[in-house]
Amino acid sequence: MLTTFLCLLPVLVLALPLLARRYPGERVLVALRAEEHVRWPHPRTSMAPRRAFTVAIASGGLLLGCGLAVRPPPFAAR
Amino acid sequence: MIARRRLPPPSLLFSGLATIALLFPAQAVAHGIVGKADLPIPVWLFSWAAAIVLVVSFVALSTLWRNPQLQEQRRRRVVRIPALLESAASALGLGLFALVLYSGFAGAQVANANFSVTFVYAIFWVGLPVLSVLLGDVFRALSPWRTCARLLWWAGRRIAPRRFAEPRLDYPSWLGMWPAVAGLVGFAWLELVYVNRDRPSLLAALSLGYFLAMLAGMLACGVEPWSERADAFGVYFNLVSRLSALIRDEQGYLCLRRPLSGLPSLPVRRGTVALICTIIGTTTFDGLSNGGIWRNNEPSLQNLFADLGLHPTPAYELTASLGLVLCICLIAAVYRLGILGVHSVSRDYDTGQLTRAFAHTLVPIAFAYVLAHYFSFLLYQGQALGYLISDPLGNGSDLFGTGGYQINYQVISYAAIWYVQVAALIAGHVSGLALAHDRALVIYRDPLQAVRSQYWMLAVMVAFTSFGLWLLSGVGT
Repeated sequence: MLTTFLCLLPVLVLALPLLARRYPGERVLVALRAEEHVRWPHPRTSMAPRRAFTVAIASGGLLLGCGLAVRPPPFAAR
Repeated sequence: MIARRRLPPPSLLFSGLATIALLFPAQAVAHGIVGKADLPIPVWLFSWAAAIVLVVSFVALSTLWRNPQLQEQRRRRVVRIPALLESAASALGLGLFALVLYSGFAGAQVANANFSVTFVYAIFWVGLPVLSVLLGDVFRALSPWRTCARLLWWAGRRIAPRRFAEPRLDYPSWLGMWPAVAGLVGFAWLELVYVNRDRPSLLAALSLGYFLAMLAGMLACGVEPWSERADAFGVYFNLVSRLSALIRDEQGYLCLRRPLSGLPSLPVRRGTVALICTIIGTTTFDGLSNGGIWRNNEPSLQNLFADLGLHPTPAYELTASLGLVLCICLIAAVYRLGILGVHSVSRDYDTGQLTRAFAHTLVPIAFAYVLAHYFSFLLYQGQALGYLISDPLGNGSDLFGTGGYQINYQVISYAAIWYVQVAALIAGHVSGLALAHDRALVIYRDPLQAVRSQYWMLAVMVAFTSFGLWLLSGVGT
C-alpha cells in the first residue's frame, strides 16, 4: 500500500497546485521563451536597421544634389 | 527548434540523474508473460525518476519548442513500392489467414502446439503494431479481408460495371469508429477474460466470422470507408503506424516524414477517443489482472456473483469483464480530468473540442503500454514460430526441419527487458507531451494559456507513466 502511495505521489504533487489554480513557474517559462527571441534575433531583422543607417547619411555630391533638387533623387539612387 | 540550445545546467543535471536512476535496474524487474514474478522493483523510485524526466521535458518544450513542428506532414519520397511487392504482401496475408483457419480447425487442440494460437495472440496482436511503427501501415497490404473485398469489387466491376460502380450504402456517419471499438473490446475480452481463449478451433471460427463480417461491410459500404472506421484491427494498426517515419503515399511511393507527424492529421471521428482509451485500458487490465491487488480482491467479487447463483466460470468471467470495463473507464476518466483542467485555462474552446484536439496525444502512450507489457511475450512466444512453421497442426510433422526448435528463454536478460519497458514508457509519454505542446501552440494565441494548458497535460502524462510503472511492478506479485 505504501509503495502504491509513493508510486502515485508524483501525480498528487503535480495535481494539487493545479487544482488550486496555481501554475508554479509559469511566468519563468514564458519569460524564458520570450528571452530566446531577444537573444537570437532573426538575421533579416538585424540587417534592416543597418540599411536605414547608411541611407540617413548623405554626403558629397549626393548631399549637394539632394539640397539643390526640387525633387530628391529616387530612393534607389541614394 | 528543440535541439538548438543546450538545456540549462540544473535541468540537465536532473534529467541526467533521472535517466541514470531509471536505467540502473539494481532491483529492477522484467514484466512479461514469462517470468514476471521473479524480480521486484522499487517502483516508487522509478515513478519519481520518470516524473522528473517528464517535468524536464515539459520545461524544455515550453522554452525551446516555440513554433508548431508536427502539424504538417512534410514527406520526402524515397522509392516507388513495386506493385509486385504489394501483391506479394496481400498473398502472404491471405496465406497466413488460411493457415490460421486450417491449423485451428484441423490441428491438435493444444494451445502451444497449434500455429493459430501463437500467430493470433503473439504475432498478429503484438507483433503487427511493432511492425507498423517500424515500417508504416503494413496491415493495409496484408489484411486478408481487405484483399478479398478489393478482389470482389474488381471482379464485380468487370462483370457488372453499373451495379458495382458505387457502394450500395453510405457508411453511417453516426456510427463513427464505434464498430472498431466494439471489435477491440471483443478481442480483448477474448484474450483476457474468456476461459477458453486458447482453444484453436474457437479462434479459427471467430477469425472466420470476423472475416465474413468485414467482407460484408466492405461490400456494402465500400472498402476504404469500412477499413478506416469499422475494421478494428485495420483501424488499430493504422493508428499506431502514424507514429512511424515511413508512409506509403497515394501514388505508391514510400515516403519519409518526421516521426509523430502523422498523428496531428488523425481524423477524430465519433468513438476515436474511446478507441484509444480502449487500447490503453485493455493493456492496463492485463497488467492489473496479473498483479497482487486484483488477485487478492477478485475472489471476493467472484464469490458475490457465485452467491447470486452463477457457476464459478461465468462468475469469474463476469468479474474480469467488470475489471476490463473499469480499466477502460479509468483511463477515459484520467484523460477527461486532464481535459477539464485544460478547459479551465481558457474558455475559447469547449471540452468536446479540446477532447478531440488532444486525442492524438494518447496514441504514443497506447503504443508504449502495449510495448512495455507485451515486449517479453512477443520475444519469447514469437520464437515458437520456429517449430510451428514446421509443424503448424501440432501433429508431429517436420516440414522445414525446424520441428525440434525450442524457445530460448535466455535470449534476453531481465535487465534488458526492463530497459526496453522503461524506455518505451518514457519515450511514449514524452512523445505525447511533445504532441500536446505542438497542438497547444496552434490553438492558443496567448503563450501563457498555452503553457498553462500543458501543465494539465503534463499531469495526465505523469499519471499514466506512474500508473504504468506501478502496473508493471505489480505483475506476478
